[in-house]
Amino acid sequence: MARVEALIIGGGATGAGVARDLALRGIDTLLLERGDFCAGASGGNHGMLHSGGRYAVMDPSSARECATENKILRHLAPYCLEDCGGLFASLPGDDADYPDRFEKACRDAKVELSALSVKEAREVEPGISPALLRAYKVNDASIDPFSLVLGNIESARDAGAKALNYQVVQSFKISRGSIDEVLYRDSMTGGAEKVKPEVVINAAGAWVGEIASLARLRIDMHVDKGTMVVLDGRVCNGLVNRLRPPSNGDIVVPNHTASIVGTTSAPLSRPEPVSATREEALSLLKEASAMLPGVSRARAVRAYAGIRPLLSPVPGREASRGFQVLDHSSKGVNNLISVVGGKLTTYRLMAERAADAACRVLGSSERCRTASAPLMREEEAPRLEGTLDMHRIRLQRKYGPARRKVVEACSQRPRGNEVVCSCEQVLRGELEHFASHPDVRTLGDLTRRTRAGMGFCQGGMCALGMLSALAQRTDQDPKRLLEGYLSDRWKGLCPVLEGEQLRQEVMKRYLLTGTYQLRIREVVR
Amino acid sequence: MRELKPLHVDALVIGHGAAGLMAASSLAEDNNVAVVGKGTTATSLSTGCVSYIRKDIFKQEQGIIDLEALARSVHPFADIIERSSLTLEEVLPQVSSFLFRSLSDQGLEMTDDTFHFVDMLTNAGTRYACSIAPTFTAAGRLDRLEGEQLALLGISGQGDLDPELVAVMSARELEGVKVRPHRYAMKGLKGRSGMTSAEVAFHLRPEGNLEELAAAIRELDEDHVAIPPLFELQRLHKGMSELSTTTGRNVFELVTPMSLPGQRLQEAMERAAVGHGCRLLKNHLVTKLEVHGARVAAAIIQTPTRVQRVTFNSVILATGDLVGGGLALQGREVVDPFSAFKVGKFGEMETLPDQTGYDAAMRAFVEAGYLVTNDMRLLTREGKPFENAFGAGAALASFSFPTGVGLGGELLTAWVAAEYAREVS
Amino acid sequence: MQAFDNRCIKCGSCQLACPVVTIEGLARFAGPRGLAVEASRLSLDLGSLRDNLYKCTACYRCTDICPARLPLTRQILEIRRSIFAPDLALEGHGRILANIDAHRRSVEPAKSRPSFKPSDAKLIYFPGCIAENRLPQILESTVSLLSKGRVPFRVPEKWACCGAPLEKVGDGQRLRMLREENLRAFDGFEGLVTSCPGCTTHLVQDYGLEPMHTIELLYEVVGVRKLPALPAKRKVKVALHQPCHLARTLGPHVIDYAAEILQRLPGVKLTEMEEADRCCGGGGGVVAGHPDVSLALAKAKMASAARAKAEVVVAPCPFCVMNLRRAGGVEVMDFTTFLDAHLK
Repeated sequence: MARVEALIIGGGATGAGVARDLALRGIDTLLLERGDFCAGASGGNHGMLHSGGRYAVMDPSSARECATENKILRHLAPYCLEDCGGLFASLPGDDADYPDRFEKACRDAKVELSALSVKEAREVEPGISPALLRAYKVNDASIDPFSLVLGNIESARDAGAKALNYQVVQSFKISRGSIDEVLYRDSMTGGAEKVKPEVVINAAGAWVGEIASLARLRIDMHVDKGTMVVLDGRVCNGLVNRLRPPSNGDIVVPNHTASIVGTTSAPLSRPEPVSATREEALSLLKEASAMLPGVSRARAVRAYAGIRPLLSPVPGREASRGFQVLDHSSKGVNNLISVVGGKLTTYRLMAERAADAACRVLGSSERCRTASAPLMREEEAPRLEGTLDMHRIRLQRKYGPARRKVVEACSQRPRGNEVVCSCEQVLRGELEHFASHPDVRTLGDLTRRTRAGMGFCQGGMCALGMLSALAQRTDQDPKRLLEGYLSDRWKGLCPVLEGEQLRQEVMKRYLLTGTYQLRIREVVR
Repeated sequence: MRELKPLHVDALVIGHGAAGLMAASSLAEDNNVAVVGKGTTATSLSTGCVSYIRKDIFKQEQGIIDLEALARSVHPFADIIERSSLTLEEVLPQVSSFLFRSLSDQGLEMTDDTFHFVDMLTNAGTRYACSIAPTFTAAGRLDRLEGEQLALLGISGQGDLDPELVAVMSARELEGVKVRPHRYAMKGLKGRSGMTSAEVAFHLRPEGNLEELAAAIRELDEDHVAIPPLFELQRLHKGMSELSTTTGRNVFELVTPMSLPGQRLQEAMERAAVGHGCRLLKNHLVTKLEVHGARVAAAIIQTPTRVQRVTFNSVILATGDLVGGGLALQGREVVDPFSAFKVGKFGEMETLPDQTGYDAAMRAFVEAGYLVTNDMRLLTREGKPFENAFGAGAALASFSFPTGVGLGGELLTAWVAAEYAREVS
Repeated sequence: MQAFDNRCIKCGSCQLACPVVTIEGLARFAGPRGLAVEASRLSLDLGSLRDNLYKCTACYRCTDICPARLPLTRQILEIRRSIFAPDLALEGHGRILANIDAHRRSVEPAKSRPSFKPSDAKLIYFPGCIAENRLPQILESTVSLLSKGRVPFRVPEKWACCGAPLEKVGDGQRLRMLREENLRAFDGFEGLVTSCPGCTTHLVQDYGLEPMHTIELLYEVVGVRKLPALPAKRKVKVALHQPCHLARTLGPHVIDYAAEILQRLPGVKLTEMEEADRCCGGGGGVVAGHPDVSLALAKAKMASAARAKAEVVVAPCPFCVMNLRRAGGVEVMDFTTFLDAHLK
């Protein structure tokens, strides 16, 4: 039976961060994620690298953490982010006291900011509401969570860790106060495996409670649903935040070819599957268009929801965004560490604390290196023939230092330079490169790694091209792969199905369900 | 904007897709007809095939459609045809033969199979069933391939046929057929990737460029060879015949949307309409319709720098659905192009199709399948039928014929609309 | 830059219709959808599009065909304007700028240019840079036709290039300058006629005027169909090329006029050439910026003419005439020159 020093459950930012941290400390590590990496909150958030401004007033310790980690991440993973800066803007009707409280709270929490005149704010954001009253500039940035998480996974693997996606942890065998064996199953093939870990790090985000319950432990936490809407194109140059006590529709984040409008907050009783509703989408757009009128004219591409794991006795918006690393030995299990709560921006810090705790259990005195080791080594990428400059630039932006192999695939494979997803100008070489990877089993896995299918047509015109890259490398039924993918995309389209996106979907129906007779599973609401 | 001299016609058809052109061609036998249209039609994006009947509604024996069952069903055409005092048995063959004659005059031969289904293979490797298809596509009918060997021949760099994908996708559909993917790189197209069908067709314009492809086909072992669409309308017959006869194989095109087949059908129907005597005014936009009570009196049509008033005895609205731009979208609202019509009822929705109504109707179409049909007459804002205005094709917003499966519904409704208009003219 | 309302439904019709995509392929030219819709969202730095942005001939075929009525060509020109920098301009575009600065013409002036007597006629004839300096037969035959039709006209003394090439190069500043100078030079007029569809279109779209192209004037005002024609010396098979700026930006009626006029001429047999409305490659600043692309398009057109067994290609546009002649093949004549030669 397989043995490992550290077993990490959860392949979101936290888990991936712990895997990297431990691997860099020389610890033999295995990570198991039940879906594709970056599935949970990491795959359903706003994509913000927080300056901390948003938490300064309500949650100053989180704000402080964000401010510090923000600076660190800029050095570690610059290719995962776009340093577009952020603005806080207040409008008539917003709490008139809030801006001053905000300014003071930011300074106290060491969140950098500078006050802007209305004229200056308009220069930074020409699209800001004409009714703008006050504005502050902060160093928010836009971050690509998939890039970040996958980058951590690859870095962990480079350092000797193993990471497997689509593995569901089923049970713990506990003997003499320790988790002795962990049973897990491949969610697609059903194949069962066992592993004997010395320490288990429960980094399952919103599901830490469910994992802990496998050891008959309880965790005090809340889960909260947040919905976001993706708009096609940029409605703003940098992040735009509403300068008022956090509420719905307060934030717009530019991200690659889109603008993400968020967010909502609704307590859940348990981490059940969530999807965005039409009411949530419409209310977000309405709110956000108060500060950025361009939102109401933009084309809504899809909406999605994620589950926030919140550490707090209090549910909802008032909950702290802080985190805690729990050692359960006082509760009878002496080799389980759980990471509760947290945010994407502070993932590295969370991972550091969790890894420290794990090392204590292992009796290792190795120190954390992640605060100073860049995520990826810069590599020379070969010349890319037969493509336009914009393709070269996109490859750099998406894959950063890791682009060498991708560029090679684009320039060396036959048809490698063919544009498959034209909304995002994704080349066939990118798709074939990732399709060859054992991690990649579904079209969604390809989407997350290349951005193919993330554009305004939502895979309508490129799903078959994506399938072409994957179909020859898998035994799965290609039609089911395709239909599954289109159904997933459909789930995100439902809440925003009006206007131009509706028309796009009618066009897709012609093609996919009409002509090609593919079945797109409807959502039961 | 300068005004051109006013135009008077017996019938004005708005929309130059299959429905508009069919209605116009039919009317032109004995009327002075003008067709006005702009942009891309859904027809030119279609597979170029025609299917009147929904396969899943009927039980078939040997692929023959039970007409009585058809008439008894809730199928839309039974409704429409009944209301028009025509019978389905009369109309279907009339439409088909009119279509065949018109299209074959333009070089587009279609199979004459109104009452049968033919199963063919699409360029995605899925199965496509329809009644009437171009002969060079129907030559690949799946029943003919049973127990045979089939080569899927992709042209390197050409976007329409990915032979490996089709082989993988169709494996389960074509269990009794031995399928092999092949790829051929045309000499004059080296270095090209993701070629549009227009690029390849352009390359095949000069005579003689076809020979190397024929030679490549002769190298294959298989008797049946599926290729992507390669030929424009005027080269279709010659090109495909040449490939078949010089290679001795059954060379056929896969059913392919958004490519040459749709464009060929569009072009053939346009030429046919002009051949029947219609005046075809492409790149003209109808910007206004003048309504007097229950009559539509005139249309204002525009080009970038000129405006013209058209008067007529009857008008047919064949502007298509959302795809072809028939129902215009403004942000999150759907409005009809001229703001003068109410186009039919939507299932249970009795209210005027204000913006939410359209939106909900279209959403219902996408989410739940199809809607109940409406009467083809256009209705005033007060809900009364216009005397001289009729709808045809996918513009009948609650059109329940499944989209993407063939243009039969468009053609049938156009034929009936033409009958209505003929009575008024 | 103006935000672009994204109504695209990815039907691909524009990419199929684009003559440059067909000639160049998507690996060398992103096409109307690639540039106007997709790249606009992808590239924060629009300057990264320089490698292929200037291959668009601004033929407007994509704009015409788009079911969502997207202003695709307009968007491409808007991108050019937003990234314009004189020191980064293509070599041929730089020459245009230099000629404008030195001579107020888009081309080097001819050694001898025609001069016109001052007149108080209300109708202005605007010759355009090419008719004046490269293809003087166009100017001569237009003048001849106007006098055969007994139409008094005047040519403003200090006219400048209309500015259309500047729009294609993306130089908003010089564009404005030329417009202001010309409006001053026009100095009160009733009616404006031009030889060049590029000028006609630009005077409509940029100046907001209502000029006519020579063909429109001849058909609608002069009633040229009624002018006496010379008897046919021989039969000639003529293919009518449809210039983009005539057929698409002014309107299809002009082509109808041209065809009707030609058909009535003794000895002239009009033959239909394949894709008569496909761009010849002469527009969009492509002749100056990417001459290889222009030439390839011209060759494709002349091949169509050859397949139609045309003996003469009549092209009602000076840019079309110039570019098509570069491709070789049968004789290419401007419409007014051809017409004038056939009338008494």
